[in-house]
Amino acid sequence: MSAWARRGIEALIGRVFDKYDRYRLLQWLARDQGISGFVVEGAQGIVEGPVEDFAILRTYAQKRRWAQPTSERIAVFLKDGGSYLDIGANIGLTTIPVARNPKVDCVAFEPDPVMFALLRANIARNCEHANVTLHNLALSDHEGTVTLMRSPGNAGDIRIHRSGGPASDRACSPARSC
Amino acid sequence: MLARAELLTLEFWPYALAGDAGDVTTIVDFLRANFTQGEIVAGDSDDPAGTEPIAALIDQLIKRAESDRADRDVYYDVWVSK
Repeated sequence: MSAWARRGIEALIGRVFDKYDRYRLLQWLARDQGISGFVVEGAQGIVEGPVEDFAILRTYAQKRRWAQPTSERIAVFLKDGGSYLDIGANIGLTTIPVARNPKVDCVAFEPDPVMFALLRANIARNCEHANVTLHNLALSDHEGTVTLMRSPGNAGDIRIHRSGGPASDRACSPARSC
Repeated sequence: MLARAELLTLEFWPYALAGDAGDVTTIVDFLRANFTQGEIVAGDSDDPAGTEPIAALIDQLIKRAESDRADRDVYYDVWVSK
């Protein structure tokens, strides 16, 4: 493809599609090319998430920050150190900025095995103080196993399964009482 | 364990709460019993909304649990403290 044609296509995409549709287009192209994850650099760090996610990673990609007021509140509150529990840590967007303070001990729980693998990679990539402990667990009022229900397109919507929904959207996680 | 936290942050998502037949009363009763102040910020906002007493924050949560229950895209970041 010539540079002229490429610029024309880029201009056309920019004119025809808004930022949400451009992200949808990006997701389609990624799936077409066998790409399973995107990596985004922003205020919370260099963070990888699944291509299918249109909620968390898309927001982080387009704003380059995540829950900034809450993140700043936690940082101020823990400026002299302390303990921080992230229950449902997802891909780490909340834990990573907290862990930049080496005086804070972070413990992050994420029940979904796919999200947990991304969380582990993102913590390894962004947290240099070895002050984050990770657990691939759900926290509950009883010990056992829970079945999780994933939501297509929203990697932040992972719930305990009760009934219904396709089997492919499910995962299992051990549960510990707390 | 959560009741002992000095600062608690949570994502408040009325759509998911309604979809799971969740009860906002359980949440607000817990917050009222264990915390004195907090803040509620729209999930897509970068601006602080300001600290308010726990009773006022709870009023907001109850109203938004009802008004935003059908909107999948609306959620709030909430923090509360002792």
